[in-house]
Amino acid sequence: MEAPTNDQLVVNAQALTKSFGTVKVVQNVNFELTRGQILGLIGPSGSGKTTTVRMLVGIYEPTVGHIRVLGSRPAKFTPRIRERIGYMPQQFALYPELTVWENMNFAASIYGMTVRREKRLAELLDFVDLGPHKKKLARNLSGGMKRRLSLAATLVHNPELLFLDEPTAGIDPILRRRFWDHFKMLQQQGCTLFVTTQYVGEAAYCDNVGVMANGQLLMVESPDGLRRRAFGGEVVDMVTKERLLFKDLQQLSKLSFVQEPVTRLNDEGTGLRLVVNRASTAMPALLEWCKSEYITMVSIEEYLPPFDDVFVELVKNAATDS
Amino acid sequence: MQPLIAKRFRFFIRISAFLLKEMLEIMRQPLLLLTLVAGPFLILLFFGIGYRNDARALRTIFVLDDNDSAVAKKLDEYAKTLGPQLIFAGKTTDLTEAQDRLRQGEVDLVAQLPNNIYNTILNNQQAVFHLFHNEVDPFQVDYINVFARVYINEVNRRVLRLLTSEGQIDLSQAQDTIDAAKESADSLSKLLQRCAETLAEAGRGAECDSNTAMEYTQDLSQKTDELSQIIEQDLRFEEALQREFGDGESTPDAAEDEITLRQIRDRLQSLERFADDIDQYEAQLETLTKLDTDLDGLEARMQDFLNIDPNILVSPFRSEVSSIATVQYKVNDFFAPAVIVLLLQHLILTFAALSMVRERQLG
Repeated sequence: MEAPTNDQLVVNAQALTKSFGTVKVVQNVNFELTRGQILGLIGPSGSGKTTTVRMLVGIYEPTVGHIRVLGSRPAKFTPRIRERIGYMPQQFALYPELTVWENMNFAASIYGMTVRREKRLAELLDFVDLGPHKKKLARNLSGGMKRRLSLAATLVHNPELLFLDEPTAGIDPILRRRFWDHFKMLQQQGCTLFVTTQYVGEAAYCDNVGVMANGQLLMVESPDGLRRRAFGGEVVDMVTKERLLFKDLQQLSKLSFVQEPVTRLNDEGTGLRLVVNRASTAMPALLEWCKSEYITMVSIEEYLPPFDDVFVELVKNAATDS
Repeated sequence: MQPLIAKRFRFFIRISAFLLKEMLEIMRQPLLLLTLVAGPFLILLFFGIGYRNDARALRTIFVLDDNDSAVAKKLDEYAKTLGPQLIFAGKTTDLTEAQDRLRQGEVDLVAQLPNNIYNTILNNQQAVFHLFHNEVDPFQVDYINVFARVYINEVNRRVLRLLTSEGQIDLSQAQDTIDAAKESADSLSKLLQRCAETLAEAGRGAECDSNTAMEYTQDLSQKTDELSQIIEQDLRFEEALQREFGDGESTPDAAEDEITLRQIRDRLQSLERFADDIDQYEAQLETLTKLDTDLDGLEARMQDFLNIDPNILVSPFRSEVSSIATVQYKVNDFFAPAVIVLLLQHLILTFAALSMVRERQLG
């Protein structure tokens, strides 16, 4: 894969470390974000995701390391560069004493939008389902509604680079899906997104996913890559008509494309879960093997483990490695 | 990106958006408005209600040795007329009792009159009024110090006025002496006229009562001496007054009085010399007429002096203040704008600080 050129590189972080006193909150984080990508950062609470984002937008200065965002150091952002960036913080940073509409208007004014903005604001409020609530004071909104308002205000000036810190926290699954559909649409329009989330399942929506734990970035991979790294390969579920014996399992394990161990799926002994190098080539090979052993195959399919399991495996592996 | 307005307008849009946001936030927090906005104005209002533009009147109790003394009698008259800032709260001979009343807040000031004022002054010392107060506010303490100075000056002025008016009384006694002198001069004049008529009818050799004439002349001389003694001090006063405040061109009245007295003495001497010379009766009559004129002049100038109010002699100056400014303001009107500006400044700084803290907290 070709290394991205400087024009394509939107964010470049190297050896990023942040300490508060003697406590290292972020350690040696390295990653790149190219134009038009969605990079998701997943990890549990306290893993350093928000601190990383704050360094990227210039709120914190890194203790060690350097960052380039849109070719500039975040601490030296000019107003012009800030106008190209949208940042949605984790906490509600808008104004409780202003209404939904007034908050949107304020955000639009700060970003220097023209006064003919009503249509744009209305569209965004409809997108986040806050259209009927535009006259409500922000302090009277629920937590989820505040997040939606926050997102709408972040998108008001249609920036080319978005930093979203847990944008879907407290949002119902249906609306969460809508948000990601919109993020995908923004991506198609050329926007670049950096999203942090505690919902590891949202990693599936990203082009690349960074896994953070204890202030360290364990890896940056595509969603499929993460699965592969978590389990050591791709996973295939196989169901046979006959019960598979122990010797069958041993034979299967010895196949070159099968990673140990092979696990049974059911008590009847007819279901197996195998980790293979590549599911696309392994599945026909397994079919051939069954035929050669006179085993009737009922079904075989690639199993996509949920990202919760992927994440748990990854963190477990990381702990084991360290 | 959404279309942005021209860079030069963005600044104004941002500033106006920020100001509008701040105003809306403040207006929607009634407790904040109450404490930060209404609070200072309320404090100012209470301050204004308590503020007094006029001088505070002090309830004063006087302490003296003897309730029946001449000073005690004078006190009743003086204390009630000294001025509106002194409220006469009574008199007592017990200093301790007066100070107790001061401690309890029944009176504001205790004034202890000096003892043996007469002997103290004769011993070349000032008689001291001791004033006691119970104030801790430094401004009130200063006020009482000024109050004491002003009222003691007024007492001193009244004493001087009294002495001056006594001097004027002495001078009024000179009027009797002048009248007596003029009577003697008139009697002498009539005697001389009779002698002149007798001489004209009987010719040379007719006799006149020269002894009686001499008596009148000596009486005149004596009256002149008395007059001279009486008006001596006032002459010196007049001299001093004209020396300090006269125009330096016209002859001072005091000098004229002195000249008049000398003229009277000269004329009396000439009358004595020609007392036995019957041929000089006409000259003598003429001298008497001039002497009478001199006495009239003296009388007129003394009357002028007697007509001067003793208050003016004691306090010859007063002040009148006029302003050439086109507007005049009361104290409140003059300082109100500055106070309001100060309050606004306080509000702006407070809200700016709150806004900064809030923005920081929001991250």
